[in-house]
Order: sequence, then C-alpha cells, then structure tokens
Amino acid sequence: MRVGAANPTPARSTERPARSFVEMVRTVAAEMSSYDTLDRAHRDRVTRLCRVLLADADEAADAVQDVFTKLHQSLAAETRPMDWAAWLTRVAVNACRDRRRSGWWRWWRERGIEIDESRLRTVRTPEDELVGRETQVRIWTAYRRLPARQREVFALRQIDGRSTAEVAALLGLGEGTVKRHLFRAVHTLRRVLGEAS
Amino acid sequence: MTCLDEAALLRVYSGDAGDAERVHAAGCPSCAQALAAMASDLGRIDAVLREGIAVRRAVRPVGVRLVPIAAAAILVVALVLGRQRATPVADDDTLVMIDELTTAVATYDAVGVEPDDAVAARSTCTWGEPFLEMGCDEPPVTLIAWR
Repeated sequence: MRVGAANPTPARSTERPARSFVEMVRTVAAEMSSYDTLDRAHRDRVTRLCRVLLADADEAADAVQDVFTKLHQSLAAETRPMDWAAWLTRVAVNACRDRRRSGWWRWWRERGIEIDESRLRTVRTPEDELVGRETQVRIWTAYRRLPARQREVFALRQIDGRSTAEVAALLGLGEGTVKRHLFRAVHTLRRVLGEAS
Repeated sequence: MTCLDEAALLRVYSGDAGDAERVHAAGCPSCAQALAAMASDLGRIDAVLREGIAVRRAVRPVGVRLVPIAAAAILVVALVLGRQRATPVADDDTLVMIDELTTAVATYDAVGVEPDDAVAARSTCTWGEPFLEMGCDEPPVTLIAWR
C-alpha cells in the first residue's frame, strides 16, 4: 500500500506555503541586493574606510568609484555574495591596496604631497574635547607613516568597528597577528599624541 | 595580579581580553585610570581620522613632470637598440667552418654508405650489430680499447 496515495491533498497543501516562502525570501533578497539599496546603505561607510586607508580624499573618491563599479558588475553576475557588507569591505580594502601598490609611481606621486592645513577644521571628540590643527597634522602624519598592514588593521578595527575575528578573516591573517598590528599602530599613534600634548 | 601593560589594556578596551584581565582592570584604580587615558586618546585619534584629510599636491614644473615619460621613452629606445645589436652576425671563421662542414656532408652523401645488408653479411654478430662492423666475437675490452 502506497502511503499518501489515497489522499494527496494534504501533501499539496503543505507544498504551497513552502513555495511562497521561498519566493518571498527571493523577493526580499532581490530588494536588499538592488544597487540603490546597497549604495544608500554602504557608500558613506566605504568612503570613510577608503579615506582612512589611503589618507587622501581625492584618491579615496577614485577608489570608492572603483568599488561601486565592481558592485554594479557583481549584481549582474550569476553568483552573488551572501554578505554584501563584508564583500564591499573586502573590495574596498583591495581597491585601496591596488592604489597604494604602484611602486615607484606611488613614490613619485607621494613626494609632492603634503597635508592641507588650511582645509582642516577643529575636530570635536565624542567626549567633547577639541583637537587642534597641529595635533591633527601630527596624527595624520604618523598615521600615513604606519606600515600598510597596521593601517588596514587599525582602520577596520577602530574606524569601521569590525571585530578581531572579522578583521582577521577579511585580511587573511591570524587573530594574534591582527592584535599585534593593532597594538603597534595604537602605540605609535598614542606616542605621537602624547608628544603633541 | 600585577598591573596591566599597554597591550593588555588595549585588549580590555577592544573587548578581546580574558576574564582575569577584565576583572583586574575594573578593580585596580591605577589600571582603570590608564584605561580611561587610553580610551580618551583613541577617541581623539578616531575623531581626527574619521574627519578625513585633504592633501595638497605640489605643482611641479613641466620639465619635472615629464621625467617619468622621458625615462620610459629612453627605456623603450634602449630596448629596441639592444635587440637590434643582439642579432647574431657570423664572422669569417664561422663562415669558413660552415663551408667546410657543408663540403664534408656533401662528400659523404656522394660516396654513400654501405647498404645495411652488406654490413650484416660481414658481421659475425648473431643479433646483427651493423655499427660495430667487426662482430660480436671480439672481447669487450678490445672493443673499448679500439673505440
């Protein structure tokens, strides 16, 4: 005797909600994956990250443009990432690396660069402290001199607010290495801040 | 437990510390003060970095700006010239040697080689070793010495 052959109706009734649930999930996923939604949700964060990673607003604007061009291409592709936030962060880090990795061309460009103090304004910390221009220049100068890996770890951990495990996964490093890079960056920056104050 | 060093304080600040370090930082006035100082410093650094930075690129004279292009052009010219010079040219000795070699090969072809059947008939080698031409009855030492 075949089970369920006598009354096939209940089986059909359980199938329909399942199918509609899948469709609903697909619709929500498509909505969440639309370019405008992702752009609105992540552009500010990606821009801030690129600015900190490159320490150059103009270069950062170009890098952000690259990132969102790749997003547009990726949305048209068959396979899509599960976590767009992590994907965008990884693409942003790689885009910034590409811009920094141009060897002697970078050396040539960086030679003529200096911080534009006239465009710095007084920064107010969350604790309502004021940070003057001179301190800002010192912090930025020290930050720009950090090794690339320390910069990336500091930016992702402190500015982007990622956990140690997430930073390790994004950069392909061990958690211990991430902690070590973070400590070195913080130690250098605090020393400069101490000298400034 | 002794007071926490800067690395341990950073772990506590970042939430990566173990229970012992967290408990100590909460209970020790000295460490709590050091932690507060670290939080204040990092707050200032974060605020500055989040604000972003504008850089100014020095305007270089046209001559200086063209240096990379000139360097690339010189490199290309050097490569092209280098490749042209690297083309092998036969000198007189080489030409004489090639001429002699050609003559020798041509003469050998004209005289010809004994057909394999004739060599095989003269050989005493049962498995027919035409290259030895003197048969397999010769002891190996003799063969090696003759060679």
